[in-house]
Amino acid sequence: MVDLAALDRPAAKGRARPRSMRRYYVLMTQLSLLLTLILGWQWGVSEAQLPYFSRPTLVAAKLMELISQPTIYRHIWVTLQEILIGYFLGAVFGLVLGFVLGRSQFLSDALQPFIIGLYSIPKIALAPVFIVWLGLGMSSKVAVVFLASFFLVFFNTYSGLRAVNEELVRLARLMGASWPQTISRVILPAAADQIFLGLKTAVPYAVIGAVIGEYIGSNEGLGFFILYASQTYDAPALFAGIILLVGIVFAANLGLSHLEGKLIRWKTSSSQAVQI
Amino acid sequence: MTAILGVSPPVYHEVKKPPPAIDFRDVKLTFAGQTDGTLVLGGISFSVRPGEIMSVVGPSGCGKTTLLRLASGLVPPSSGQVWCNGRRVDALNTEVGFVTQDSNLFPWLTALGNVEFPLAVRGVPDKERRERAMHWLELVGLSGFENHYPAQLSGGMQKRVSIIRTLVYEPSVVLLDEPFGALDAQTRMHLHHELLSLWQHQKSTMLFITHDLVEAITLSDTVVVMTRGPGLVKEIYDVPLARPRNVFEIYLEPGFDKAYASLWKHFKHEVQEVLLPGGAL
Repeated sequence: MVDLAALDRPAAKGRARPRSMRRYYVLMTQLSLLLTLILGWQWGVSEAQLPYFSRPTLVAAKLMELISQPTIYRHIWVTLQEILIGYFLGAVFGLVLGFVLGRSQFLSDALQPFIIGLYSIPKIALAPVFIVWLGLGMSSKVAVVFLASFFLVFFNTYSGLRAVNEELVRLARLMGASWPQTISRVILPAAADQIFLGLKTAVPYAVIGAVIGEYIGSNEGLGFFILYASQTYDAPALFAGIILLVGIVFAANLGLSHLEGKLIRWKTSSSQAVQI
Repeated sequence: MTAILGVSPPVYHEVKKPPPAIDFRDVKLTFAGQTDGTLVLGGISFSVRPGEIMSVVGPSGCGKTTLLRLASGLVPPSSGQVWCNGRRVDALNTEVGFVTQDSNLFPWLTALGNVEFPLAVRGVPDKERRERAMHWLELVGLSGFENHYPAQLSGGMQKRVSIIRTLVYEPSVVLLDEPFGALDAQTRMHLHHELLSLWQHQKSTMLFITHDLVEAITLSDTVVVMTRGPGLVKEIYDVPLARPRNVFEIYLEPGFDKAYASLWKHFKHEVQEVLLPGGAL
């Protein structure tokens, strides 16, 4: 049997390089760019004698020192908890509300001005409000993370549901699908692409929310650690803290991509995330 | 009166005729407008016999597609009634299967998954579901493509999947809304051939919407000609061609010319206004 689908792939037409070779080149380019940046940083700082810019070697040494002591794990754990709880709650509420408003024209019309109003508020700017309301502890950061991730998940779920082809819904109903079946087998898969985009886009915002919250007022967490390093002019610790943050975002995105790959194997085109 | 005369009335043993598969009874439909409504269908009455293929032809905008939406219960008539197998259609009618203009396959399911879908939601057990779906895929020559996603199939293949996805659960009436409109002439002919073989195989009732007279003659037992909006039935024509038909050389079949000529006689007045306003064709 001729594989027609294979004929449609550009690779088979001899235009592009074979896929594996291309990926290899991309990876090599990325690695050399990273190396150039690190070497450039190292060399530039030692040549120009810039104070407080630190150097990759010093940052790496600091990082090693930090992870060999228990203190940093306490900070990481606090920030992780804020992110996980806030993100989880935000995602759940965002999914549910996005789904309900996405399916109900009436509620969507009725709540539109309120949502647009909230949409235009920079969520991070509300962090001081939550510190006042909820205090210096973890709950104020959880609230900021919640708000930041809730809106991204909500808007993307909402627009994903709005974009569902109603013809598919009607066909499924005519084929005898009950409403629960139509939701789980047609509406959710049809919107899955956009929903996942929202979930993924929300991750860095959740991290930003937690860290900003900690900058504004806290006595533990990675944000507090970075702020403290800044106030004591400890540049290597500052960068080490930021690298740890990047690691968290990176790991979370990797996990979500993995989950997405398991759930959406048919993906043909990429959607554009609704941003805040 | 008969009792007075002392004679009992004769008893007729009526042959129980099955009710029409679809019965439109003086159906009117008005779409609500800003100030007043637009009359889309102005009193349609005709019925589809069980087991026949009936085509509805008419100029664009005459409400052909609306007929199918009425028959499937997606739209209620403004007045009049629609009946299906002796029951009045007043809600979503799951006795019909609908083949839409676009293939409308579920892009997240494979060809097999799409064909299995209606069986799955109807609770057919896994094994039987798979066997039936594979059987239909084989009938339309798609064995080997069952694990392809719709995006990996050609337009003709998608259309085949879309048709068998409807036939697989054996709805008593299949409604087809210009399903072959967007395909090239070759693929179309092949699909006409396949549709007729599938119909011979299953003998389901089909109500087929098209604006192509040749397609209508090729496939149907009966052709309904509709007028420009508001849609009315202008003519109901029985196609005299024998079955099975050779769709590839349908114009050579005895009676084709005559059928075409009589249909065109009714149809040309409907398209005339569009082509040459006020002029002759």
